[in-house]
Amino acid sequence: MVLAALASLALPARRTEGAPAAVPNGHRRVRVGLVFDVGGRGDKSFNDGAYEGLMRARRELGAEVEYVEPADSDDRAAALRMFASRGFDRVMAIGYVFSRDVDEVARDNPDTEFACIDYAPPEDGRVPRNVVGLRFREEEGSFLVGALAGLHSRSHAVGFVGGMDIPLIRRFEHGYTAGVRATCPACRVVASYAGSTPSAFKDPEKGAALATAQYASGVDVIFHASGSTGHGVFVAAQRFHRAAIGVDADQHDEMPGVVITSMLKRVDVAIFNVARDASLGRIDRGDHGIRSFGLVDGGVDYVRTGPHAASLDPAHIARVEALRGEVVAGRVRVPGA
Amino acid sequence: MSGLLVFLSQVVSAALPVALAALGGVWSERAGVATIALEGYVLAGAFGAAVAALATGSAWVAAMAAMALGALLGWLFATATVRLRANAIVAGVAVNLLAAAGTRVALKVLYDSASNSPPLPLGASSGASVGIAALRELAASPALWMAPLLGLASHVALARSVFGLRVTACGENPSAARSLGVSVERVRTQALVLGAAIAALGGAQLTLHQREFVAYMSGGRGFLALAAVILGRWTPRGAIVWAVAIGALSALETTLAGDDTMVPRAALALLSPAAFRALVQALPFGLTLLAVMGRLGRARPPAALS
Repeated sequence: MVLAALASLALPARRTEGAPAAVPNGHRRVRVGLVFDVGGRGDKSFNDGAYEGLMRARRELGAEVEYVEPADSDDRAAALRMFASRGFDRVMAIGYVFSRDVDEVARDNPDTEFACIDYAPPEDGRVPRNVVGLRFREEEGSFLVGALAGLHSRSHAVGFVGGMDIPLIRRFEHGYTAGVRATCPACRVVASYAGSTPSAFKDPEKGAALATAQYASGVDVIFHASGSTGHGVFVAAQRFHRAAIGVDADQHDEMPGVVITSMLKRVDVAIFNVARDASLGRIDRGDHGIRSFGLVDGGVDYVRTGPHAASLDPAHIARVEALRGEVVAGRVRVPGA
Repeated sequence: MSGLLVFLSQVVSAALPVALAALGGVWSERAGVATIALEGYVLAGAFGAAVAALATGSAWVAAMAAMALGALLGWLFATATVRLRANAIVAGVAVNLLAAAGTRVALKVLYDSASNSPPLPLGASSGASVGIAALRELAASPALWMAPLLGLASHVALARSVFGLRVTACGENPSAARSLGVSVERVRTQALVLGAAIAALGGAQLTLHQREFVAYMSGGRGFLALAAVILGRWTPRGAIVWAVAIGALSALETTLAGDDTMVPRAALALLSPAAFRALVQALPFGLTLLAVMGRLGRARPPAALS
């Protein structure tokens, strides 16, 4: 208790958002607390998507929402404790780095429900019973942009640039490759990774070098899943007048005229879903504490409408939408691992 | 032919930032101060270039601003190590942390972003083929033209000029230099500031090539440069040659990355394509280890290096 009080003093970035809207029928007013990662807000991706979902919960569910951006990585657990000690209905953490913090704080606060985006279960695989890990089937979204790349390519060669070579990023690649195969069996798929350490997600110069090599080999569309390394992919695409596909959020504005679409990881959908469950007095713990969002619930998607999708051929979109139907209906299985 | 041009452009763009950082490292290590801070200089230079290019729209002003910011950081480092006699490794780590945190804070304050600056207002170049467009882009960068000049000037200055000889004296035998009336503190400070400015120009190259600043974009190039300094035996020529070799390795790895069929057949008998690429990536550091162990000829650092 004292700790929590101290923690809340040490967390200057706590914000409450005005008076909440009316609570819809059949719902109850819930209090939702959200903890961003250090320096997370303003990333135009992931963290901003979480904020979006939180605001939607406030608007549509009349939820009382509050969020914290810790000043230091040591404050992560403190921020979670602060919300738990104040009796919030749901405490949500944004990013896999919170996984162990959430476990620890959840065990100490058995009456509070926690959710964590991209949660990694502990070594022994036992997720605390008041924790829900929120994951995304990235391979399904990658499958659709792969299908689109296969249709869009004139050279019948498409590329993939990954950040760090880890199973998570391989899932993007495998889904993408399967998508390309679905619409263009003759297409060549070239995949490269920026490295084998976390800095591979922050090296745009490396991204540009990989993309340059791919474009030079005849590739005309590249999908990246590589954090800010992807900026280099966009730079190369602009330099050589080729196309690129963004990731996680709508990346059109990063390099207008180059990014033909983006694979979307709808963190907002996941956050809003969890808040709505709370507001209906329900808890969905998914499969042993892991809930995964895919095409069927809109947890992953791609940009297909509006000015940011203007360079896409409507016939191609129709074809990809048909494939989406197949995946949702379970007739097509997208390979992950 | 076209493939060759592309490869050439890849070597140059990978080598340029490393070569400049290594050249800066030579100046400061020859004066007898270990510079693990190169990584911080590169990152700070990258940020300084972005601010100046956004304000003026000129790549040359951006390059100068990067050097000025690097010089400032080098002066801070010199004050800590030369005047206040702080341990150079500890102070170097501090400079690296300061550059990483400082650029992020400044990014937030100036451009309200956690990840990148706005795009720089510089015209884009284009060309008939990927190779030509890539080379034209490189030619538009001041760093490409300044690097050989700075390399040549450093070579001549270290070997012939009074200042260069004094720098070497301070690195080899500071007490002898002091007994001859040389102000070791002043010479070392000047060499550190000069080295930091040159290294920061390597950062400017990254920003100009990417047309914006991206948080943490130095990506370990300062440490690769340190390897080039050691492998090049603390000479400008050696450092540049090794930086180009490291650039060629990187370009090779990049070319192999997307195409397993390019990995040599002989290597595949022993390794998976991924393991082969990891090996190519680790090679500069492995060679550096051999060099400091004295297994690659004689690698004698400046005697007073600390």
